[in-house]
Amino acid sequence: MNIESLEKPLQMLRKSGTVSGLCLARGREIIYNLFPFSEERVADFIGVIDDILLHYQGQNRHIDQMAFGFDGGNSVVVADAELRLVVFHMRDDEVDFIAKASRAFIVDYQTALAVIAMSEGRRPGMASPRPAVTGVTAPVQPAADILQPGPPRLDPPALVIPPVTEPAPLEMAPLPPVPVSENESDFIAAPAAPVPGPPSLSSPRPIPGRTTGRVAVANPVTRVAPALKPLRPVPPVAEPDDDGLSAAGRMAKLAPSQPESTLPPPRVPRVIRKF
Amino acid sequence: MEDTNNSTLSDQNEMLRDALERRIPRFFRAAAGSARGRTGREDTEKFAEDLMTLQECSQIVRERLEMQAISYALFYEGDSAFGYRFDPNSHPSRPELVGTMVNRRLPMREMLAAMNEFLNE
Repeated sequence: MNIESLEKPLQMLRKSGTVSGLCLARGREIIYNLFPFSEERVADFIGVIDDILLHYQGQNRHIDQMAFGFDGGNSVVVADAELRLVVFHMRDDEVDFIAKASRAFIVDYQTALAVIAMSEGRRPGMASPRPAVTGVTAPVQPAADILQPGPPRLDPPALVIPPVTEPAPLEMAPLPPVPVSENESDFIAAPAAPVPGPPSLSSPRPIPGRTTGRVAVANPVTRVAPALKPLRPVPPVAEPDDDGLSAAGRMAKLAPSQPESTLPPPRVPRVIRKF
Repeated sequence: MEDTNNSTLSDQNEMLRDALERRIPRFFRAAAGSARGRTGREDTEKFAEDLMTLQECSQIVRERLEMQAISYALFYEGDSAFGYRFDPNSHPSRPELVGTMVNRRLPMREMLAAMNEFLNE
């Protein structure tokens, strides 16, 4: 079963109403956990729920829904066979709506698992051994009831999720040093190290232009340098004068017709004579 | 749970027979280790037994979830439902509670509302 098909409806339920957490479990095995608690706390809580249901089963009573209300929140448990969906919510008047949605999810989930099991050619429920529970004994079904003909029991099989394994690191073979040359005529065929890869990637047809164990350049690309523009002549550097300073280091020479200063001549103060 | 359905109705309390026929909730009160009901001794004893288990389950769940005080607990069992809720007006040192049993899957919201109405009577 695809994990997305399991995750999406539970995420939708998690976001509905005042739901603040949920957990899907099979017996004591947690399948999907969206509780905002630690894993140990959730596992302990799921174990308690399993104990309660098994206690009632020991009295031949089958509780399929439980709701608990506390000052800090409410929790509703919807059980079907070994599947339990525990939802934690805030408002107590949402309990029926949440229970109905949880029941619909469990029915869909069990149907999907049964279809998968039948498509794989195995009887539904064969691959779902119940983990051993210590301290609580489930009611033993009499042999006569087992031998009675009847419709096959559709127990949900276990959700088979392949373990997530990290991909193997890529093996890189060291390449021998290759001499580098700028000239095109100096290109040489360098020996290539064999690259380990999956057999499906090996092509049976030979690749044109490739030799076994050696790499050859099939169509070397030649770069053509663009035509160079003629350079402008660089002005000659002025020779230093007698005092050792160049023209750039001295004051520029003025033209003969240019006055030495463009500023107006300084005004002469007028002298007022008093008679 | 609903063994009263199998017994003869003539032996049952009048209120119990009426509640079973009309599928309406039967209410009980419990405080200080004793339960009281109007539907006969047998029915009240059945509720008292269920109440002990219910309270224990609620207490264990409350401890595991590290929640505050218990408000209510409701169970569905086949075609019947039962549960209890604490009386918020009772003294904390002597808590009282009201319980209910009904021989149909009454919506839990309606069960809570019915118990609230019974508390306010």
